[in-house]
Amino acid sequence: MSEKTQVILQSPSFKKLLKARAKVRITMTALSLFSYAFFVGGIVLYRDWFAAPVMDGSSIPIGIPATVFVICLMVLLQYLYIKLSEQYLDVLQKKARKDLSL
Amino acid sequence: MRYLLSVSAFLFPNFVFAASSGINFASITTFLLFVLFTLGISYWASKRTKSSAAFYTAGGQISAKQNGTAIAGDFMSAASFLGITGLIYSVGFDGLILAVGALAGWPLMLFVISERVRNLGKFTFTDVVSYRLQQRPIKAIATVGSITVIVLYLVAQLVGAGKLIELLFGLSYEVAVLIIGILVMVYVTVGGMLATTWVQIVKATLLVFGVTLMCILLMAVMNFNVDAIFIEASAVHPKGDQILQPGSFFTDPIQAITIAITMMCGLLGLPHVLMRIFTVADMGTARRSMFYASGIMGYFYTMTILIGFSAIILVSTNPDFFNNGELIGGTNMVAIHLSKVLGGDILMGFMSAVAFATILAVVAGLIVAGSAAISHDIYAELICKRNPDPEKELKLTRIAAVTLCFIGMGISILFQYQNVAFIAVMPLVIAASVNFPILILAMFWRDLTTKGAVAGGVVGLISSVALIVLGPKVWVSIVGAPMAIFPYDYPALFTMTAAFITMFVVSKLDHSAEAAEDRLKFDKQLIASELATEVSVAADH
Repeated sequence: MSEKTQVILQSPSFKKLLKARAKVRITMTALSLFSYAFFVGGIVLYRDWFAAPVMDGSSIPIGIPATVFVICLMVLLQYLYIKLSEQYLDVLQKKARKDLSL
Repeated sequence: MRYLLSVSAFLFPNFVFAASSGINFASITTFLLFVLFTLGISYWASKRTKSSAAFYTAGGQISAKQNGTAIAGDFMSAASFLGITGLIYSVGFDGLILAVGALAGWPLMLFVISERVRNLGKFTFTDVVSYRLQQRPIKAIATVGSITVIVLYLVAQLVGAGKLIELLFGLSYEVAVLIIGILVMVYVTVGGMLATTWVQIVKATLLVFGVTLMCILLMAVMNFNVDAIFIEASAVHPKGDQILQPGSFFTDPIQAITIAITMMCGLLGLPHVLMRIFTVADMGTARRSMFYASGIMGYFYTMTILIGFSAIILVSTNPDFFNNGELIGGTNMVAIHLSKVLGGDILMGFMSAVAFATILAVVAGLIVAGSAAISHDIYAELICKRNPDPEKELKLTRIAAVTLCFIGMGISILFQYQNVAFIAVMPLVIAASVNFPILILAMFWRDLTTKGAVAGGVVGLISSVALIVLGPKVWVSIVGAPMAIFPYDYPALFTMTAAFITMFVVSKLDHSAEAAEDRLKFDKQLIASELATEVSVAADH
């Protein structure tokens, strides 16, 4: 391993960037997988609940708004990720690059 | 138009105009306008496509909104529009798994893949996986995986297109495939990725406009009462209330889970989708592209839910769309029939032309990715050891594009009587079982070695092909056996797991000097991927 690589890996600002990115990535990925699992679960596990009407007198099953909710949540999570990246992670990246004179 | 029909009839006397009485002039006019417009785009793009970088990735200069719309245009295939609405029409709620499944991979593409891929790669995902692993073996398996996926995806699109156009325009299957092949050859060889991108943007815009118009019209027909759609749909459908609840189609939970996994992870390994990440200048633009793409697709798939359920009411009860009790054109034509109910021949013509345009755009994207795999990954990187003659490389790229078109057209004519669904399964399963595990572990797992990646890729490829052949779609539907040896159509849950386990075990057992070198390079890769230290090289390459 070159000396430069070692310096970067030991740099506090690089370590902070890695930690922050991992935290955001893992949280967002978990939320996304959870929402997808919720939808697939509705098809394989709790079918009766998905089939129940949204409210008394309605014929729209809970599964339909649940599907639209999952679709919207997936798009919303991506919007949040971009905002977090631009306002937090990109700032950390710039700082790390500056600290390391890259 | 009549002149064109006459010329085609002269050239292909044996198989032109299978059903000329069914020709819809509104659709032909819309389609011809689209073709003229996109050929103009190709001519414009050809003035700007003078290098390999311009050909493969439009020089990395596409904006986030343009790239996002083009990604949506690339991914919202005819299968999405016609297939999902058709499935909802047939089975109701269970059809939604395809709508959500098609979207499920995109958040992961953004959170986990897009930034690192953009920072590490140049033109193809093979660049990324070979960043720290040994070039020759890893490029070989990644390129085999890419080309296999692209050719199968191409054949699936062309077979579907041939059948669709046979019905929509009254042209014969062979002529339909030939028209698509020639048009795509022109788009790709003349205009490269820039022309392909703009064809996809135009197509996505038309598709979203058409779907929106259909939804507004159908809501007007239903007096803007969403509840009424579900009440009437369940009242007229032979399955009754069952269409409003899960379980009418996916009776086996494993089948639903494995299809969900295939759709999500298959997307993350599709080479033509990954390639679009390199058409933008930096990581931030790649991120925003993914968001725009997801937003457009999320809207589109939500609209398909309304269209699918409304079609049950407006199409299944209309005797004009049935012949001897069978829906004309099968369930894939439901959305087109619905457009006729809502807007007469003009809307039907427009939506038919959009469906045709959809196929052109998807096939063009596939051809660019396939030609890049051949000329960049094999010729420039492996044969010329990263020092190719730029002119020869560009020439080879164009030859590869034409060759791929002919291969795709040839196989699709041979496969015209095969089950389209079976062909369409294979690329997603292979992408999920070969490309995705190699890509994700190469970027995130330090201990992955070249031997592990190659072994896992080979296991993923062989097992996915074997289990698809032994599954119901081939073993029962094509071979004619009474029962499938493997019970599931989409085996990615099993084949992808096998690939991951093989990569893990072989890499852990690999104590060679090469393995140590692979692991050592992980740190350099980590720095490049997180700090974007080499991204300018990628854009300028």
